[in-house]
Amino acid sequence: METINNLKLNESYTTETLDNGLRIFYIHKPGFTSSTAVLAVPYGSLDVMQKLPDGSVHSTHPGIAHFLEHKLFESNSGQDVMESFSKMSASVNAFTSFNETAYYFTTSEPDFTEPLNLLLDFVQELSISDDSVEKEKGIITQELRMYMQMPEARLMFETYRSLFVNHPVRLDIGGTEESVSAITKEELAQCYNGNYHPKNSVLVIVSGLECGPVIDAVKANQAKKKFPAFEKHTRYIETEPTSINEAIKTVEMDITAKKITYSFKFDAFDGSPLERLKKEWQVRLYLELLFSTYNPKYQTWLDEGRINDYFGFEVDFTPEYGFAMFFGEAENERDFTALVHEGLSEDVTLFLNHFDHLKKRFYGQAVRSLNNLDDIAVTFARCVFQGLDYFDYMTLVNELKQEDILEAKAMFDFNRSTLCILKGKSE
Amino acid sequence: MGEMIHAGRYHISATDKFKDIVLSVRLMGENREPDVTMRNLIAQILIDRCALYPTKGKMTEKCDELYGATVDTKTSSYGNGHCFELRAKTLNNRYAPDEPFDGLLQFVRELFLYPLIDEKTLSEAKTNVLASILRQEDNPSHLSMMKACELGGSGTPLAVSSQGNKKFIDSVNIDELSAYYKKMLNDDQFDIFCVGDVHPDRVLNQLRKTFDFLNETNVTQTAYVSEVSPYQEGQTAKQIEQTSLTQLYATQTGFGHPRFSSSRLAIVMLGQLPSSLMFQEIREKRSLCYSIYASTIAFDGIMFVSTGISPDNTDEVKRLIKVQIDTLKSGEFDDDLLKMAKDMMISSLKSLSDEALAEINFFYQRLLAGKSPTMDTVLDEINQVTREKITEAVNYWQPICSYAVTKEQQHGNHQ
Repeated sequence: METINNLKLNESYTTETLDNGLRIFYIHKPGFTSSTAVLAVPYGSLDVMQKLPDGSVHSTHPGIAHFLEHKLFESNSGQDVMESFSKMSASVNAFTSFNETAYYFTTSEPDFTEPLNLLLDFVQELSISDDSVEKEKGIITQELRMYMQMPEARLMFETYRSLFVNHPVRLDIGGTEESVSAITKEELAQCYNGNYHPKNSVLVIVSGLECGPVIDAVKANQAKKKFPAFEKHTRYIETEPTSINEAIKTVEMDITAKKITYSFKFDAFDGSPLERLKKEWQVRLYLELLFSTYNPKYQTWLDEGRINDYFGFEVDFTPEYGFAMFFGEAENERDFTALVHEGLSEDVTLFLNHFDHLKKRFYGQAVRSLNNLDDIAVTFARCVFQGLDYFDYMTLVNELKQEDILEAKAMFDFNRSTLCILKGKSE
Repeated sequence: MGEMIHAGRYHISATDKFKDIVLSVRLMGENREPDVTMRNLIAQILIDRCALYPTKGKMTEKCDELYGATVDTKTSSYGNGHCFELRAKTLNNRYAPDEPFDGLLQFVRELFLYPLIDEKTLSEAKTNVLASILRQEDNPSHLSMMKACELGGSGTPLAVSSQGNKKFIDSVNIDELSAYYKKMLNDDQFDIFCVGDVHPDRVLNQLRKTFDFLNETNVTQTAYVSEVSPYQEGQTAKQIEQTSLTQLYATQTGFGHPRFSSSRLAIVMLGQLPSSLMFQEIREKRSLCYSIYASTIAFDGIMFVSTGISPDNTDEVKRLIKVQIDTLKSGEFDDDLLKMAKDMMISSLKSLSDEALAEINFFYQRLLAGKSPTMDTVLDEINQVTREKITEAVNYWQPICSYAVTKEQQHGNHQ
């Protein structure tokens, strides 16, 4: 067991890896009544193709990681897992993202070990029947339809499809109605066996309770269980061209507020996780100076009605892909792209007097995020999977220098940009 | 919990467990149009620019100097009342060397006293408020909820959207808005909350000085009980695949009424837990939906159910919702369900102290309803709920409206 302290943030965590490979991280939050535990595996929607230990590549139906997340809530004793948590006054939930599936609960009860044991038990054992797999398809279909008629979710989905040719980030996390309906019990079991194992799992606990007894309870739980030898399935990604998939895409929906994204594809970043994170911050701060209120043109853009307060941008860098996306509500998509070009052609050195202001802002935001137990637990688990130290992740922005962000300009290649328009049917 | 100190309309919770200090200034006015639209316009203008920081850039710079302080406004309805909230946060002094909270208070005072209400800021605010309304209308589940409230609450505050109304935006002019803002500061009931690592006496003095322009004697009435109006159904057709269904029920039980805790627990049993009746019957057993839940618009005496379903299943889902409510009415539910609902609600209330804004909201509602602002009182009320009390409370529920935003009827092709 090892404890890592960060005096500046006034936080610490204790970590231990059990004999079966399960990595435990415990963040003690004195004064907090609640406790949160997250058990996560680095298996998400992007793992739709995986390389098996024998070297072969196994293709699965899109949405299978998400389907598996739904089905794990069924225990082999026939009990309803969610109901069991409720009986313990614990609130349980789960999510599947591109890169991970996470199961978590929160409770304010002083007996934290009972729901913690249940979390470990239900995630570490798969028990499904053909009937229950069929039944779940109706529920997931409704979930997919719900997201597809939310304009923002639809716009993001279509943007990914425009940017990427092969990479599975272009697939909806939940799959399609067709792919979901084709998923079988056997396929789910195969994916479970190749990805769910203590060696491939991280348990993050954030609690006001003392660490020792809780970790002892986890050890006792794990000591009772035997797991088969684990041969991890690894993500297989087909080569992604540097070019974008579609330069312009228009999608019609029954909406009144036209929405637009204008996005730039970047190369995948192959440096260390910390270098990758630094790169992401460089681009983010660069765009923040050019496309926020620190640029006097921002007010002009608003006054001229070229953007409204919905305007913003996102940046994402991963070892497999990268992009920057501008989004807004505007009548004229050509003018929107022109606006982005105008912003990107600005001399960022004119605004560097605000560089330290931005650093203060993002440092403040990082510190404040330490108030939320669920956020801490999920972010911590993601850091572990990405090979990042949590405290480095929280404080990296303080290490950035002005000259770092000047490199960002060269990354924007207009030949690798895509425009995605979500417009009303009557237009 | 229970550490919040109340001094008149100032409410302070001193705790060092959070990394920041949260300030919430709440002004309660009447929930009626065109006031609500004007309050939403003011909500935009107040945090946009002010005399001392006359550009967005200057405003941002000030916030960033205060370690990424955030200053936001939010509007919401509480029955007859409409709450305008300015919410500000900054790091507490342990994590920032130059005591940013003192600077934040001065900044917030500037915003309230010297806002820039002119043609430019008003025009921008109108654009933003309208865009926000359209965005909500483009989301079928939001639209369904808004339409249900308009239909079921016609002529009452329930029908007034807390985010303003498209019809009134255009006609608001500067003189009218400036006059309304003055009236708002003069006449609204205010409550100011501060949660974080502060010294209560010191911060109380600071708050009193900062907000000396507000009138401590004002009172705005909020909670009322929606009358049982004749049941109505409504529908909006859109080109969508999933129907967003909202059903409203008059609970005939006001916030703070002796039946309130029973009615609130019944809502949890109906649709707020994985073991709730609707979730089990409609989602788990029959796979008819992904999301179905019940909730309350407590200050209007309303319970509502919301779900997303296939258009073909609408009648069946409506029938099943009614069956679940009838189960509560007849008292034919498991003891376990009531116990779980109580335990989960108590657990959730205990955890409020881990989230500054949740704690503030809890106390605010109690204060508005004139109820004892202590957690122990609420926990006692929940513990005393019995099967009979649930049955009694649910028998007062009356359906008043059902609204569906649903797929357009396909006309036959003419080939």
